[in-house]
Amino acid sequence: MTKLKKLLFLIFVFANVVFSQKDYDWLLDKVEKDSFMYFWELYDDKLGLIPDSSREGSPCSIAAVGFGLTAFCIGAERGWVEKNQAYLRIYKTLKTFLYKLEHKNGFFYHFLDMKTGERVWENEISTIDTALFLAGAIVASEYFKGTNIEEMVKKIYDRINWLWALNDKDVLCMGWKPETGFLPYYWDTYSEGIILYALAIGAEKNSIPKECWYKWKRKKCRYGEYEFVACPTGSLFTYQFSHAYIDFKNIVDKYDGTNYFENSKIATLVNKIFCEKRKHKYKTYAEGFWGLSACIGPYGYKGYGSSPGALHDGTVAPSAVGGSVMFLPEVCISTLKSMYDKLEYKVYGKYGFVNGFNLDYDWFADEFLGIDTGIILLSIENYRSGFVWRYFMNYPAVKKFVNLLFETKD
Amino acid sequence: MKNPRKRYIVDKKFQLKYVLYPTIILIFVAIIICGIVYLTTWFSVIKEFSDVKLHQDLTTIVRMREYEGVRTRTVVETIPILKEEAKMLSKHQLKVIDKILVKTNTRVVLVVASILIAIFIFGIFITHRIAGPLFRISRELDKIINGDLNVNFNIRKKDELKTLSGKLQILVEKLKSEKQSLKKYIEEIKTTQLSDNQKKIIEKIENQL
Repeated sequence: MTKLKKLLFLIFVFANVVFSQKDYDWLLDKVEKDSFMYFWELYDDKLGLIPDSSREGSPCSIAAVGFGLTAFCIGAERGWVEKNQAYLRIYKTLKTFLYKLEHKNGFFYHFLDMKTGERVWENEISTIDTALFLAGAIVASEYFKGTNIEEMVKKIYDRINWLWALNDKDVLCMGWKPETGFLPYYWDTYSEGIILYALAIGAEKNSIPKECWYKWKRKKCRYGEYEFVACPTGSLFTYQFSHAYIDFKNIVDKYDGTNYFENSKIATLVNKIFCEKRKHKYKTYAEGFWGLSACIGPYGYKGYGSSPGALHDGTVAPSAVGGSVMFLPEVCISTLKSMYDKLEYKVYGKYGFVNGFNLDYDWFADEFLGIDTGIILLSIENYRSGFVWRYFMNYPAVKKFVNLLFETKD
Repeated sequence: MKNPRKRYIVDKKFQLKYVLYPTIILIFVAIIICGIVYLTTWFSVIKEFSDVKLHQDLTTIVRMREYEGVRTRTVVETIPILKEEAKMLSKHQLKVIDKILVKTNTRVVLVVASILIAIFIFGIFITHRIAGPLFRISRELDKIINGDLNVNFNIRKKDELKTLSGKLQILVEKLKSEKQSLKKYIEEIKTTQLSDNQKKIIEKIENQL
């Protein structure tokens, strides 16, 4: 090959890289902004609540509110909305949570009526959803540091009696109902519950002992050449939700030296390989799509996942892929791009990617879920700017949690 | 009751005027209240049981149970959300509501009509206590206008305008006594020496009395 040919080839490769990068940037911008609009448009001005789903008649999910509060900060930072507008909306939401909503020892009900804020359908006081709400509130507290928002978040945080949620055990309980008391389920394995432990251990008031961190089971799963601390269901969201807030990149667990960021990277890869290995059986996987996580499928909402749970029927969740952009950007962005290019109008709508689809059943969800739309937004933003990590990791309670249980990666 | 009045319609025009005015106002108020109640309460009740709302609620309940199942890793038996079944259930619910609605509306109409009739009767009863005395005062005043001071303004114990009629009676009594005094005085004057002209004037005054 002559020098000129070599040079032309290099220019071609470089141009391709630059072009595709710009192409991806355009897609990420679009997905982020459309996902943000879920929270901005569906926010109810009466109490500042956000629905669980875009479906008509959906109740509010307090976890979706948490993602929404973070989304408003991202929106303000990216200039999609005025910072003051975001402030006023967050203020209203926090006022509702601080003064109007019913709570038990500071913990809130999972689902609320959008207009009255009252508990609906006898649902439970939820520890994890309170934590996911609080995580979003903490980002807002740091972003609007020195304002009323910071004060209100502190009051909400200090009011929570984390010790109560232990129910005299050494792991945190999933919830409580006035009718039946504590639920018989505990956060005793690797899961999205990591964020709950972080906030419960790091709390300034009524914190749980740091020893509780060592009590949940770290069951390792081997998949081919990979080994990782696994959530029993294998649902990808369990490796994402806590990571959207806690930056585990440069820290390892003092307990066994696990780096949970790398762990989630492996879990994402395993999820992808799991689907690829079954592409001869499922049309969805054969088209190069993957992403097994809890989502709506042709037969309702299911906890889809790869190993070790391995519940799947060809339904994939775009949020499983979008939520892992912060771990494996190249792989995940190209899959999102492929979904968008091949199935645009079927899987992409007003608020970004729909909740799930299954080519084997020629089925496409027609709704968006707050937490799944939220994880896509937060993950992409973390990949692009580290915005959520930066603000969340700066909060004193989070610093306390990290200092107590983690050490810097070599 | 002492001295009972035989007729309750004493002055038809007067009494109807004062009974119909408040009754008409009350009818308007009743219509407005019924309208508001229908648009707010009934309308929202009907909306709550529409097939769309039932389908939304069923979806929410099923979804919440599915969420719980995913989180607790337990098998949750949920039936698929069937739009047709939701429609049928909604139809049934709406039929039941319709029956309740008709029953309640009939009751409301009957109660409102009864209240209005009661108000009308009570109104006649109340107004006759004013119309009666007014009628009597007017009749006695007519007598006075015709020069007859033998009138009686006394009205029944429970009637209205008692003070006024009492004062009118005192006035008449006073007029009567003044008339007697004047007659006496004329009689006295007549015994004195009078010119023809004076006699004529005295005669004129006597005729007037």
